[in-house]
Formats: sequence, structure tokens, C-alpha cells
Amino acid sequence: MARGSRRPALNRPVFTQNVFDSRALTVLTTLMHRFPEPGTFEAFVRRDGRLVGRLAIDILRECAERQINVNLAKLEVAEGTGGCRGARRYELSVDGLLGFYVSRGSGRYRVTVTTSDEKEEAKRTVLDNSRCVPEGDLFAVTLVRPGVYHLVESRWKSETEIRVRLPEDVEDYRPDTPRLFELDEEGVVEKGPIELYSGQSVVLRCMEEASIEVRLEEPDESVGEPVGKPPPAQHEAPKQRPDEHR
Amino acid sequence: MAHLRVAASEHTFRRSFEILRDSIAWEDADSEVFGAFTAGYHVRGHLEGGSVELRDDGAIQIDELDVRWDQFEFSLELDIPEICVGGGCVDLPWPLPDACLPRVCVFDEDPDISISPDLAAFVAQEVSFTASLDVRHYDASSPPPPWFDPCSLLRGAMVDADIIEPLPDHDQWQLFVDPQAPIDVDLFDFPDVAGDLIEDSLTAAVSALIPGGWVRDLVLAIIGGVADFVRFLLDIPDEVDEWLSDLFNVSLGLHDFLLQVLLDFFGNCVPIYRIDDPFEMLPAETRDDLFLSGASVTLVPVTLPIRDLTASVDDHEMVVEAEVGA
Repeated sequence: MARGSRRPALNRPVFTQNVFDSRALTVLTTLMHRFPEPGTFEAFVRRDGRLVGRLAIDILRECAERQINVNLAKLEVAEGTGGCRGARRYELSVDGLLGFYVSRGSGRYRVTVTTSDEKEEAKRTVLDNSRCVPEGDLFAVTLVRPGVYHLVESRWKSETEIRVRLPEDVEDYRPDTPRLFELDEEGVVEKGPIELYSGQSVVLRCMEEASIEVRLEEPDESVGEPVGKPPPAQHEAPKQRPDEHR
Repeated sequence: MAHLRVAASEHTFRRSFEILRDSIAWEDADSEVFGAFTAGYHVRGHLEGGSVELRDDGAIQIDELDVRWDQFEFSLELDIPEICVGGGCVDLPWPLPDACLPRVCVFDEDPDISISPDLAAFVAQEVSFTASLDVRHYDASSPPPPWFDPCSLLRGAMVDADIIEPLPDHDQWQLFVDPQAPIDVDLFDFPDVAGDLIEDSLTAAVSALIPGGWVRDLVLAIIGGVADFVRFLLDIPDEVDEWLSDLFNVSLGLHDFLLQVLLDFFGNCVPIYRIDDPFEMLPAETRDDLFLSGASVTLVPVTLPIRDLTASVDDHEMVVEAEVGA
């Protein structure tokens, strides 16, 4: 009886991404950087090492957005190397949050944010996720595949278990109910395994600099495979690489 | 006293009406956008059955004509909204603002689905009306009316289908069974099974978009089940069959269309009887026995001009009277 339907492509990585690393942003991860001081900043976005976006950010004391989310998968590099027309410009208020996330695809992203320090006559890097998530920033992961994940903070070697299960027999299930945890040198402040339903998010507020990895350790075999096995070694955390300078 | 008087029994009139009834057929298609969905139809129908009674007060009573749908295709296209994971906001201590996570969606683009079931088997209506005989003189030399003539389309379609003959190239007296308002046409009233058919078709179409396994379970949990999801998209508070009836009776205007077709057909477009003016008493004839030489002679037709034609009915018969001559 159905005569025809437009069948768009499934966003496959949503169901196959099993490793999430703050050092290389992928689909289902979000890094939110806080800007505590006014000024002008520049963000450079690289995908698998290649420059894909350049943003100008003005932090203002008043009359600006308190949060802006930037989709790294939809950035285009503007022509030109800088200046007023060479970069996309955002205005954010002091203490505002700039969120970097990936809506689709299998790319891994590195974000660096710098500012010019006129007194020191030098550039200062305020964010380079390939090194760490700065103190005060947020790192969020949306977990979809059912199973047991391990959240590891590589600097302090803390580990926390996250259990994800399907929302079976849940009335009015809502995936947009994230859970917030603080992360310090001893790990997640709230002890004990974290319980989530598939599609919900964990938000980690970093009380210290941190490098965070969330990895699926025990998939729930009772639910079977998702839409096909992922290619091997595609979702491993990146090896340490030397700092890249512009 | 009239020069000419012709009577037809109630039985004969009834038979003539049945021929008229069997000649009517209609076809229509339309669609309307209702926000998240687009609904439309493509229908074809005709009339059957019914009873005809000539009344003593000069009226003609037509009861319970059956509206039969040869095709009743209902098309429905839904825009499926985003189906996403993540999102939501967390409360952060002052001076930080609340942090809101972006959503990540399951499909690259918003999908849409369409269905087009034929509901002809589930639709049945009856038509009843009171009519009077209306006599009109068709003048072939007069130009067509300057305003829109609804009969032109209806007549044209029926001529193309060889159901009726085209307008003549000569004058004619025409008798119409002219319905008196209101025509009683049953509203569309779809049974439960029609609603179930729509719902099952939509459910199947939505389910076909979603992969199997636990991915399907998750997506179904997010949209709250396909049936409820479909009702949400269509904004249906009650049963689907009631929504369907309201759609055709009001929103899509098919009931009004049917009313207008019947009014136009019987009252304006197709007469029950036609009498040529002048009336041909004897046809043209070629004779070769009039001259000794055997030469052919064509005799012109013998015609009779008709004027002041009137028609009336009582509970036994229909009577037509006229004057003859120029």
C-alpha cells in the first residue's frame, strides 16, 4: 500500500561509534569551552590533520550570546587567510560557552583556540583538545549502543563504569535528559557506575585539566549488532602526535 | 387548445430517467497541504439504483440513488520530523550559563512517507431530491454565455466518452429534471476498517524507514511507538475513521463537489428529453420512381416548427404540449 517514500541515508556512525576521546572529537561528543575574559580569539578546526574551519570569536562584556554550538562537520574554510572577511565570526558573552560538536561522519577533529596577548607580544593557546580539556570546560558524550563502557581519565588514571541499556518499557522516554558529573584528579566525583538509557548523554565538568576516553568494553550481546560491523581499527584513540603549529 | 400533445406513462418516464442516471459519471482530483502532511484524492464515480415517483403536485420524487465509487484513491504524504539522540541542558553553578547539548539525528535528511490506498470498497452514499420539469429552448445561433459555464467541462467529458451526444447545430427544446434545493447527499462516513487500513499503511511505511534490531527498538522508544507517532503527525485526537470523514466532508470539500456535480448534471447540463425544433416528421429521401426517366430526386425532410412547448406531470404520467407552425 505504501506507494513511495524518500529514504534518506542513515547516519551510520551514530550507531557504530564505540570509542569517544576528548583528544579527537567524533560524532556523539561535544566539547564546551568557557571564555572567562573578554577579548578576541581565533579557533582553528582540523579534521584528521587537515584544516577545515577557521572562526573568529569576540568575547564581550554584554549583549551577546551565552552559548553557541558549532557543528564541526558543516564547517567550510572561508577564502582568504584572515581579517574581517576571512573567518566566520561569533560573539559570545564573558563566561559564555562555545560548544564544538560533530553531527555526522567518521572524522576526528582537533580544535585549537588562541588569543593575542599584547603585553607579552605573543599568541596564547587557551584550548587544544589534542592535549587536554582545560579546567572549567565541559566534555559530553552521547552513548547509543547498549553495553558497559569504561570512562578513563588518562592523566590521573581514574576509571568509572557507565552502563547503557535500551529504554524498554519506559513510558515517555526522553533522550534529551543529560546527566552532569564533576571530574577531578580522583575521577568522577559521584562514585559508582553511571546508569544511562541508550541515546542519553553524560556531561563531565572538568575541575582539573583532563584527557578523557570513553570506550565500549562489553557490548550487550543480547541486542545483536547494529547496522553492520564497523571497519577494523577505525575508532581507536589517536596516537600521541607532535604539536602542530599554524 | 394545443396543436400537439404527447403523454408518457410513469413507467416510461422512469425508464427514461434510468437512462439519464446511467449516463452520469464524474472524476475529480485535488490535494491540500495541512502543515506536516499533505492529503489528496483521485476519485471516479457513477449512480445506480434509486426510485422515481411522479407526484400529483407536479413534482418528481427521486429517492435513494446509490453513489458508487469506481475509484476512491486517498493519498497521504507525511513529513517525518527529526529523530535524534542527545540534546537537553544541564544546570551549571553561577556564573556559568546552563549548558545545552546539541542533538545528533538518526537520518542525514528528514524523511517523508506517502501512501495511496483505494477506499472505494468502504464508501457508500445515497442521494435523494425533489425535482420539477424545466423546459428550455436551445438556440443554436446564440453565442455561448460570457460567464463560466460549468456544463462545458462536464458535457465535454461525457461527449468524449460517448455517453451523450454533443450540443446540436440546430435549435432544440430541452426538458430538464431540475432538482429543488436541498439535495440530500449522505456525508462521507468511513467505517473502522478504513481507519485501520490507513493506520496500518502508515505504520508499515514508517517502520520501513527504520533499520532492524536494537536500532529499531531505540528509534521506536524515541518516537513513542509508530502508531502514536503517526497520530501526533496527523494531529488526530480520536479514531482515524472519524478524522478521515471530516477530511472529506469539510477540509477537502469532496462532499460539496459531489453536490455540485449532481445539481449541474440534472439541472443544467443534460436534459432527459430533447425535441428538435423544427421537428422532423419525415426524413430526407432519395427517390428514383418519380420520373419516367428514372432520374433520382432527393426529397427534402418534412419538418414542423414547434413553439410554446410546456411539460407537466401528475401521479400517472408526463404530458408535453406545444403549438406548431412559425
